[in-house]
Amino acid sequence: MLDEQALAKTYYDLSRQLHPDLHQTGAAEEQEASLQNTALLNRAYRTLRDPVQRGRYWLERNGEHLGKENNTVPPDLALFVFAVQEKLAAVREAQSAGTDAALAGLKAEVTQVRGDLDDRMRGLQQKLAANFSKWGQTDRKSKRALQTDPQAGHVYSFSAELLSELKRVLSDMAYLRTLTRDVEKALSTL
Amino acid sequence: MEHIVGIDLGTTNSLIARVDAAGPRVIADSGTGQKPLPSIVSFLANDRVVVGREAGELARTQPLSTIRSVKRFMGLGMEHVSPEDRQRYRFVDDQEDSASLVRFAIHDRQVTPPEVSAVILRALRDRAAVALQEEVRQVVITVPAYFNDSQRQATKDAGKLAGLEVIRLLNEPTAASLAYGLNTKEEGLIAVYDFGGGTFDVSILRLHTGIFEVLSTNGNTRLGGDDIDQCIAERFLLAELAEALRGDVHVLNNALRAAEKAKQVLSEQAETTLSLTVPDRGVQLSRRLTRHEMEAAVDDIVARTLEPCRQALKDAGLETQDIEEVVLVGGSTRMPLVRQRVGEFFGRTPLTAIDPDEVVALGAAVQADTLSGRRRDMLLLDVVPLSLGIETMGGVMSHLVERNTTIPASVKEMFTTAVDDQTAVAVHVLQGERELVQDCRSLARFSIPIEPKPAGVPRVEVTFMIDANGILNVSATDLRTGLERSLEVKPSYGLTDEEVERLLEESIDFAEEDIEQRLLIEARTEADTVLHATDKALSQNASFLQGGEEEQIAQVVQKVREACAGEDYDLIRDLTEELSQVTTPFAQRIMDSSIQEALGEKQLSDL
Repeated sequence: MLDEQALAKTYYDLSRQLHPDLHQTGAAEEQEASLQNTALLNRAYRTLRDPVQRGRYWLERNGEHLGKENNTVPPDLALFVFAVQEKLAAVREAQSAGTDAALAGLKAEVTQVRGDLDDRMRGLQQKLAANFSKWGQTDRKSKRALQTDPQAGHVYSFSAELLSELKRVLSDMAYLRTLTRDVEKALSTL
Repeated sequence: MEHIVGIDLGTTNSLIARVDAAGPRVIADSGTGQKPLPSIVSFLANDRVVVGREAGELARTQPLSTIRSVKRFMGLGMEHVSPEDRQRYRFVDDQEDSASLVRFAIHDRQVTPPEVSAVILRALRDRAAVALQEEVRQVVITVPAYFNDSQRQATKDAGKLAGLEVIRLLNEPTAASLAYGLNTKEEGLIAVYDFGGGTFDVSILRLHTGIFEVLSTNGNTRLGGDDIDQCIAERFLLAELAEALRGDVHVLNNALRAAEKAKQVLSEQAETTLSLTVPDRGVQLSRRLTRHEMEAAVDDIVARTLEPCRQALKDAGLETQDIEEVVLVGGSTRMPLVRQRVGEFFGRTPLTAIDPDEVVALGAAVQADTLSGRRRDMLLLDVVPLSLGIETMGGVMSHLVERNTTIPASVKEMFTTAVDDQTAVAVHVLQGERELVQDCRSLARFSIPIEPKPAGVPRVEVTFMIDANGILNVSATDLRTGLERSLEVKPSYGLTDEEVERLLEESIDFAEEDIEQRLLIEARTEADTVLHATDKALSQNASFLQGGEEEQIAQVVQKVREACAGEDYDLIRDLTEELSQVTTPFAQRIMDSSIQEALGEKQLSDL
């Protein structure tokens, strides 16, 4: 589990050392190094504080990729997604037909959808955190196994099942995020 | 150590400030004592330039060669010029390239917005040089947080053209939060609402033991007090006139000034008289205007500032009740209606302790102090206001850096070729939130030179670096050879480096003559003041003179007069000082007797 406060504190502490504003009077090389390092630090912080990006980064570190399959509907979300898309289509239809009465009802429904999305997102975040902590334990076991038996390299990578579960949760989250954006766009026009 | 000063280059007024032993303070003009310099520049036919209040006077007779609110044109192209703008100024319309940088047509010259801003910056620099008695070379200039890359680059160019080294471009709302010294707070979330003469910004910040972390920013760089003036003028004055008169530049300018004045009065009073008199056009209008009528008319404009507030909160992942403090910045926040709307939106009374006109300049001075290495207890972590990307197949914008990313920020992108022996790859850089290229702002184009090889073999990595000023820098490395490739970046709405160089060479002589001239005028003005006071005292209080004093004073007076005829301002200043000294005992005696008299019957103010 990531300690978000500790992450922010580390980020602030490093910023206090690296930021270009504090190296303005230095030599050109110092200024350049400060600029490059701060850009890297900012990117690291942005990646680590976001659960999806953090997960993606972690997968890449372990030689895995989430891929760009965000466009295909994750099977376990399919029913929910189709229901949401239908609502959004109804909104578009009512808007082009100009049926105000229908729109008022739809607004309440889309707002409800928005709430459902938030709930699902929270559920996925909890699942993600649980999976990562499971991985943390697996990893320690693997490392110990590696120390006693150098041939056990394959044990170092945690179980294939856990990996596919993690990937599934992460791509669900990425997908729901895009969907949330569409729902918000529709809401702002209602 | 050399001082770095802070400059608020505003739409309506500009200020210069610095930190001294007592803290940040705005530097007033040593002649007039004025702090704000009206951002108005008038170009005379004889190649002379007038800036500030005097330029404002000239606007009456020379509206087409007097530029107000030049900030609204910084970094824009001709297609962004509105019909209202065209009523007020003449522009150079380049038939061949419609997407070209705004150029004013003044007399027989072309003048770009950065050149106009440079005139304002030079005047401020000279003011500070005179007041501080030292050369001013390095500056921090503030810009609206929502300024895009072109607008920032144009501001930096203006600094360069004024002979200044722009150490940092600082976002105005962030500057304001520094001036408020909110760093004494351990922890907190604040919103800065900055509604100025021509631009609107809102920034949401998290404060954490001296760190000012901007979480999100939003705004509109073409929405400000100018729009409120325009609305009042149209609604209550121009609507009464015949069509032909409404388009007249003299009538329009006078109506705008009258509207501005009425708006200011109505911030203090419940009603005022709105009048427009343009004798040579036969216009004479006068009417009562209540605050209520004005507020009803401009409420839509004020409401337009609230949508960016909502968006900024959303981007920061916050609700209005999370915000613990709201800071008001900019002249337009003097309007009671604005304070009321902002208060309602955030559900709390906004902070207004520091003069909203000075707070940005003061904050710029504080940041200048940090940049000069004098203080290390505050640190700003600012963001890029708009997403940055490149054009991809099918006219779609592919985002590289999302809006509200903390700067400096860098992204690397790999480029290769699509056909055999291709010798270059063209890259189009864009800024904006929309998906289609045509809906985003074009920033620049550049071409990556490639060695001819089969398609897909060359691999060139381009680094897009947004620096601490929010300005984009690009560099390219050939991954096969490891060599750095130089890129020629052509800004879409900006001056090229060569143009800046050329303009700089043309203006250097003028600039230097200017500061010398300025110092001379200051010295002569001061000498005149002392001479006048001496003459007056000699003629009215001769009885207080003691033996030989009159001859001694007359001698120095003579010397000062001779020096004033010459151009050596140091000599004038020294002799003026000498005159003050020799007349001090005489002045003291007059003063003493006046006080005795005052104690008898009169008030000191009667003397």
